[in-house]
Order: sequence, then structure tokens, then C-alpha cells
Amino acid sequence: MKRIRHISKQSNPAEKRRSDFRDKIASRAESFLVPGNYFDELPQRIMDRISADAQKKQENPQPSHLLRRVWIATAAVAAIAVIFMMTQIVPTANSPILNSNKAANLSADYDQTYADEAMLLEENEITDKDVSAIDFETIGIALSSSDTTSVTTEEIIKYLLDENYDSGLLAEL
Amino acid sequence: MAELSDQHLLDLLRKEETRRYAFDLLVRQYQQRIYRHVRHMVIHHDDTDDIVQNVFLKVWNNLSAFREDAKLYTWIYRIATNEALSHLKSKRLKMFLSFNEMEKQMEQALHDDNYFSGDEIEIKLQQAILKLPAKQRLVFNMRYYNELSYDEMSAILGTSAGALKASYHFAAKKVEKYVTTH
Repeated sequence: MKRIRHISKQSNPAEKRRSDFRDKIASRAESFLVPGNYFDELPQRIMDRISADAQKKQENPQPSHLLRRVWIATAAVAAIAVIFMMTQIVPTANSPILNSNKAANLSADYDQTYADEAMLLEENEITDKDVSAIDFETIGIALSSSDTTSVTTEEIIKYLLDENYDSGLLAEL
Repeated sequence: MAELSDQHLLDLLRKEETRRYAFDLLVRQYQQRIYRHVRHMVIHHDDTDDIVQNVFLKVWNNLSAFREDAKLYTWIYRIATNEALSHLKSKRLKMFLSFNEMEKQMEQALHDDNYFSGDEIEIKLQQAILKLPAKQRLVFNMRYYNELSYDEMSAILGTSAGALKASYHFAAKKVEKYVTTH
């Protein structure tokens, strides 16, 4: 009876797996392999790295902690100064850049057409010759306005845009 | 090679003229144990090689900080443990892997690795160990493969021996259950 029970236990797959597992656990077999001569060469490779690091430190000395903090503080102050200066360059309501543009429109009785011409003339690309070449009468006739002698700025802009003129220039009008 | 005592090694390491020689001896003395410890955690030989080198570099750079209130081996082992755990965490984050995906990747590495010679049971055993949480896996490996005492493990991990015993007990149960049911 004992023998039969023993045989039946062995034939039980789960029991066999448990038994194999226990044998494996008991053997503590090492299945992780290493390349040949690995441990013979490793100490030298580590010493070589130490020498290389020491050489690098000699060539590029690390700044001391105090010096590093000074550099960081200086960089922070410089960054703040740059940001502050950039805020001064961007035109605001009171900035000198916009005020010079306003000067062109101070007089209440100036002729809008001449003001437009003046603004066109401020651009380097537009010269007196260019302006005299503009045939305002032709432009006026080309526009849909019934009054050919009083062409509005908007009508001129629309005409020039349709003719693919520099819209950036026109944006200043 | 006969092992040098901690005291002997430290005496040699303190002198400028013998420091490199002593460090070479230290590496030769502990390299295999450190390598096996790390390898069981990270599986890949190449990753293990990188980590082991970094461990000994850290030991070299921090020799002056070693307080001698613990054994030299315990200290080196602790550095190796932290480096291995950091490596696993960093790898998982760099590749945006979840814990499960990381575990699957490492299981795959067992099959693909030329430097793994395990049979079917050994593969299952490693798979079971990989399924353990990282710290529990660490405890299992230290006890099972490295045969460290609970007191030694406690000194390395900063956890009580009782907690480590419980951790190992549960880990071993999980591993046995996995191997015998898969």
C-alpha cells in the first residue's frame, strides 16, 4: 500500500513540479553567465576609468561651490536685466517710438491724403520719384467711386491690395 | 586569493602611495559578489557591467566619506543596491514603461540573453522572482542567492530583521506558487 501511494504521488504532475522546484531551489544553481575573462579584466577597466576621470578633472577643473553660486547669481541678474530692457523696447502708449508717429497727425487741419503720402515717403523703398509715378487720377478712375476727384484712403488701399502691393507698407496707413 | 580584512584594506587605502594598489585588491575581492547581486536585479549583462563600474567608481570617489561604522562590504553592497534600483527606475521612466511592461521586458531578456543558461525551471524561477515588487525581489535575491544573514541584510537595507524575514517568507511563497502552477 505504501509503495502504491508513493508511486501515485510521483505520477502526480503538480507534486513532481513541486519536487523539481525544491531540488532546483536547494541547488541554487547559477544560470547567469559572464563573458570569458570578465572578472580578470574588470579591475583594470575600473582603474582606467578612474585615471581618465582624474585627467578630465585636471584639464577642466570644476569651479568650487562658492564660485558656482556666484555664477548662478550673476546669470540670474543678467537674465532679469535683459527681460527688463526688452520690456522697454516694446512700444507702449507713452513710448518715444509711437510718439514720433503721432507727431505726423497732430495738426487738426492737415490733409489726410498728404499725410498718407508722407507716411509712404518715410519708408526707404518709396522715393519722391516713386510717389510722382503714382497716377492718382488713374487709380481714382479705376476705383468704383463715382467721385473721381475725391478718392478715399480706403479705396486706394483696396486698389493697391488688389494689385498685390506690399501689404506691410499699407498696414502703416 | 586570500581576502584581506577591512582594517588592512582601509589602512592601505588611507596612504597615498598604496591607495591604487589597495583599491585594485578591493575590487578583486568584492567584484563577483557585487556583480551577482546587481545581475539578479537587472538581468542584462551589459547593464550590470555599467552599474558595477559605477559602483566601484563611487566607492573610489567617496572613500574619504566612509565612516567605518559599518563593514566595508556592507557599504559597497548598499551603494550597489541603490545603483541597481536607480537604474531600474530610470530605465522604466526613460522608456515610459509601466511596472508590468518593465517586468515583461526583463522576462523577454531571459529568453534572448546569450549569457543566461537556465533550463525551463530556472526560467520559471526567474520569471517568478521578476513578478515580485522590486524591494521584495531584492530581499529574496539577497537571502536566496547571496545567502546573507538577516542581520547583514538589515544593515544594508536599513530595515529590521523581523520585517525582512516576513518579506522573504512571503516572497518565497509567491515564487513557489508561481513555479508550481505555471
